[in-house]
Amino acid sequence: MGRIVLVLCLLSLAWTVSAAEPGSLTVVVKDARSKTVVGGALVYLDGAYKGTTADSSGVITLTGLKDGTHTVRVTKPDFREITKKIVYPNEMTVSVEIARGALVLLNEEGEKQGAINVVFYPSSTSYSCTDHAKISTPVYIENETRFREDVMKVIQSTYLDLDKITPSTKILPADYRDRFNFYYYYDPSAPADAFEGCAGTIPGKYWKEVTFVDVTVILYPKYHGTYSDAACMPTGCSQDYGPGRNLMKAPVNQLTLIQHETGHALYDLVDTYCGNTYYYQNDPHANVWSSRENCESDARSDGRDPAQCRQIQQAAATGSSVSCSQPYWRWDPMPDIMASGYRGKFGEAATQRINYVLSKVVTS
Amino acid sequence: MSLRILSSLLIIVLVCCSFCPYGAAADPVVPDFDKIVRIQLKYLDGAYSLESAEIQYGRAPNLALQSGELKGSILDTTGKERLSFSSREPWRAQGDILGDPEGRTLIGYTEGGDASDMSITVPWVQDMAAFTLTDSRDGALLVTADLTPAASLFCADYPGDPDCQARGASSQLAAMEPAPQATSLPIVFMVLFSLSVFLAAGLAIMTVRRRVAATGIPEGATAAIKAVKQTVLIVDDDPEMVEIIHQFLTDEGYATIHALSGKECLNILKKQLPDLILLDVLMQPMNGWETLEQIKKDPITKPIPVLMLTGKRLTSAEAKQYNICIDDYITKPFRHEEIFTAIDNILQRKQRFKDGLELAKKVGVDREKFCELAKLSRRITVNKKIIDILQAPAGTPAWGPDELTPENKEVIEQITITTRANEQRAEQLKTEINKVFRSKGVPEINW
Repeated sequence: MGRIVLVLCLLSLAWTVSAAEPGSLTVVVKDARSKTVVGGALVYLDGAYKGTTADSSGVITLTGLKDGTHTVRVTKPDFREITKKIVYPNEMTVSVEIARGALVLLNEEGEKQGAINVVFYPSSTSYSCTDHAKISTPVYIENETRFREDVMKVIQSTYLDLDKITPSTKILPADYRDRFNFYYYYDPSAPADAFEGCAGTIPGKYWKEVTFVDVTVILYPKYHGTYSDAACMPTGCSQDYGPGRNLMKAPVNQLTLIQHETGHALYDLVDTYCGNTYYYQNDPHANVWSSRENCESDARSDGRDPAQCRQIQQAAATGSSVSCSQPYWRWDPMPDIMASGYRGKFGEAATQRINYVLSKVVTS
Repeated sequence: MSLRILSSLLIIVLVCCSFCPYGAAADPVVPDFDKIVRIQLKYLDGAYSLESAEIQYGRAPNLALQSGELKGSILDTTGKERLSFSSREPWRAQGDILGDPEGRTLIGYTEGGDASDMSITVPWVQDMAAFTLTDSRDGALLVTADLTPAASLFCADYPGDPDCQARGASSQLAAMEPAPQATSLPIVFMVLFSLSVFLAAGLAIMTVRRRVAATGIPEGATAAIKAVKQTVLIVDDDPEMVEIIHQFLTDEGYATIHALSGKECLNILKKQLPDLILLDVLMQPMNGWETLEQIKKDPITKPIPVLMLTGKRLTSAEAKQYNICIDDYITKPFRHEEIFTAIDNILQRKQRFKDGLELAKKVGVDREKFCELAKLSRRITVNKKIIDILQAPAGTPAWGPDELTPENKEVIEQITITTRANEQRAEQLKTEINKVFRSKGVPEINW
């Protein structure tokens, strides 16, 4: 029996030794900023997962490489992933530096899969309607804590307190707060410009890095001056450049306007005030209709009073004449967030649509 | 069994397992293979065009949340829709200006631009072959993208990615030796089993690669592209002729739009860009050549291939003046097959250039160099056809030796000399480009 054990031992040793063939590549992963080694980084060779780097040395040795070009990919949670092309055997050791990402998750309990991903981005610009000029605003760029606090305030008022700005007659999903992932992206060297274009612009590296965002919110501290003429840049704006690039902007001191823009950007709600804006019947569960009949029909099927359907109009400042009229109809009573910039709630029709959008979210 | 033997066996197992990755404690780290397809589009004056389609690692946004009047679809290799989503028109910026808190609290601000970028991020779909964007209101096809070059290129860089292996685009991994990790005896069978599966997969991959090498397009991708109807603009002042061509083109799966004059053709092109124009030469008041000049003057319509159609013989003067503007020339009366073959050739050529350019861009081949080769290749094909027509026009009696006028002879000679020079330059460019393609494991150009 002792001989058998010895043979087995020798066999196992031989197996191990024969496996240590040439063709090995040493990958060392370091922190780009501190230059210290990074353990637990996931390393992939030519797309295949090979294992993690050792905690003590930041090293992993890959074996079985053929001569030629190979792609080494390194990932680690909270770090930006990096890809490096190497030519083997010219390079038998490769040093990869990974940097911490600028995306900060705000959910205490971690990311939820399938949730709505909302990312807040600081702007270094504001605007004066009086002077028709862009203003440089360094407050968020110099003070991350201030930006984070402002973001938390917006999250609370717009997303977590949604029950306070919707009618009690429309019940939101009990776990609606858990259907969001909130993040902010903080890179002082690459701020957004809230007043470059209607909804603002963000440097390209953000879009390259954050691929999964559903709504990106550019926040700026304050809009200066009061509305004087149509040449003023908008205070808030929403523009959808396609899935993954849905952008809105708003000043942090105007919470109702933030809720209004979120209504556009996330829930596809339509303005109910009368003016120079886009009107369409946002089926299903619309809050604006292209005919009285459609409005009344939806109201009936939703258990609302059809008599509340009314055309989108604006009375003149004096007298009973109408200064603005649109061939669209609304149902929600005033003060309606989709009609008012300073106060109000989402009405029952708008909340029906909000519930419809929230119902599409399946988290795990 | 004695305690000593049991202890020895235990030691062996421990020794083996210390070298064996499968036997080690469960690794809490989960590898991340999420991938996205990013399609960049350009919107200009009501028309969408493709800028690029790329695949990268990353997570996709929640497509179920999207709404709007546009519909995006990912089609598989059989043309079947595998994923769809809604999207809004990118130009529609919806702004609000805060007004008087006691009066008009919101003032509308619209920025309906005539130009905008659009960026579409969707998750990787196994067997994806094409992307289409349509207008949900009228079903109009706005833009299409062949996704196979992007997938091939990604898998050339990441052949070991599980999705690439499943897709059958693995190349370098097949050449790699199996990972020489120390292996415990119980998993030898697993390794053997894996090797046999690997071998079978390798054979399948080789078969696919052979086809890719032959055509540049993976099996099934053509079906998906064909599933997206190509639009042909028929321009002829004879309504009956338009109707005849319309009938047999729609029977073959093409979509058609019609214009009964050169002016109408130019008006249509302001609103819609077809994949190809079938242009009659003999029209009044603006003839086909004049219409062609206008089409090629406009940078937006310039890239659309034009197939000239006429009952009149091509003159040497016309050949000399317009050979660089046209993509083919067919003389009436023609057989249906002639038109199909010509259209197929032109559209396939267009697709090949597009795919090749995409790959060239990714592997670092100079865009100018690739475009020069594409232009030369097109000119060589067209010029050879023109020489044939001048020597013996299709559908008309062949020229007798004495009928070949000095002008025709001169033009044929000039075009022949140019074509030879073009062929030499094209060969040189092709060698340079293929050298880079080969080094990156990308199928070489074979046109």
